[in-house]
Amino acid sequence: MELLLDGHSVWLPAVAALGLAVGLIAGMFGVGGGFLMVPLMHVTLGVPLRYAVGAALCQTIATGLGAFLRYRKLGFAEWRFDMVAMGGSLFGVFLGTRLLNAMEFMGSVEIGGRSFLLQRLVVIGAYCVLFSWLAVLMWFRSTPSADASVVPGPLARLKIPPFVNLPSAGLFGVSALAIAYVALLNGLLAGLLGIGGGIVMIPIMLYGFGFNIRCAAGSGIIIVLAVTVLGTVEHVRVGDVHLGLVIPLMVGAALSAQVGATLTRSLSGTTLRRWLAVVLVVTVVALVFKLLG
Amino acid sequence: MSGEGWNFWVYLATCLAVPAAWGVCSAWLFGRLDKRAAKPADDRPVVDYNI
Repeated sequence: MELLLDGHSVWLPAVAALGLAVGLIAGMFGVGGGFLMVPLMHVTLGVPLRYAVGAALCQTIATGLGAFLRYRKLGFAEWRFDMVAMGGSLFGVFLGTRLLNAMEFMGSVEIGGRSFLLQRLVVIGAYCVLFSWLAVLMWFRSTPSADASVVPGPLARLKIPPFVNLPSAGLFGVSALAIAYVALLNGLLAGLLGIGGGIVMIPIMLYGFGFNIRCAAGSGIIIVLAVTVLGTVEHVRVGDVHLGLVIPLMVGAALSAQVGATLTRSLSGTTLRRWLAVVLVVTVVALVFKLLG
Repeated sequence: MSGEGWNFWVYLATCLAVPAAWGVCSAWLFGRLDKRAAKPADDRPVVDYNI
């Protein structure tokens, strides 16, 4: 019942239990859960980062595909945004994957008399910055209503040509370069951190471009699915995906996601957002302890 | 500049150019589609439906 990854022994029932816990949280908050997989696998089970990233991306394909099929039926997507963003997203995934693996051979850096492995420092540092930003957003900002009138956000007001109209989102004259570079950042973080990208892309679409929640979710899921599929392929190519790790995770997450979704009905949107912020802050604290410990 | 230094700048420029080129091409394509859709009906070829 044990798996050996780069000399680290991982107990498989513990991986399945972690999948159950993450599936419950993902079901409760309506997120893919991939963003929690990597920190928890690394902190609680000691799974090497590159395997944790590969497994998280692979697991997110299942949740992403389910959500994509649901949203495709509803027809909320802004296809033009997805088309403009796709090139940057996919190129970003390619870069992020290579960066993660290259850092493994770059040794360590010394900060304040302590030595840190570069790969661990960058990945954990990026997770801490990303989660802190998301926790602040979740705690203080309310989600724009699906029926609210469209107000272009700061990124949609950038005057850098060429411009593209996004009629389904109600946005006109949006800079194509702004979309392309945001997508590049999203893809880079996906390849590097093993997240599907929805956790980064959806807040940027909502607060940066001014999408409403339905259109952001419908358009974002297409990018998430493309990013997770390419990310998984890239990580498989460099040997980061171990099916022995992925299968118990997927089974655990699939079993508990429905329970999480049922639990959500008794809680208000604000309470859910604030609980997610607390989960993110607790994860940041655990990551910092792991890095310094 | 050393060879490694050049490599870094070439790599960075490629990373910035690829998404930008994709974005510009898709914006141009959608721009053409918008122009075509906005074309007044008078400019379109007249079709004679009389048999």
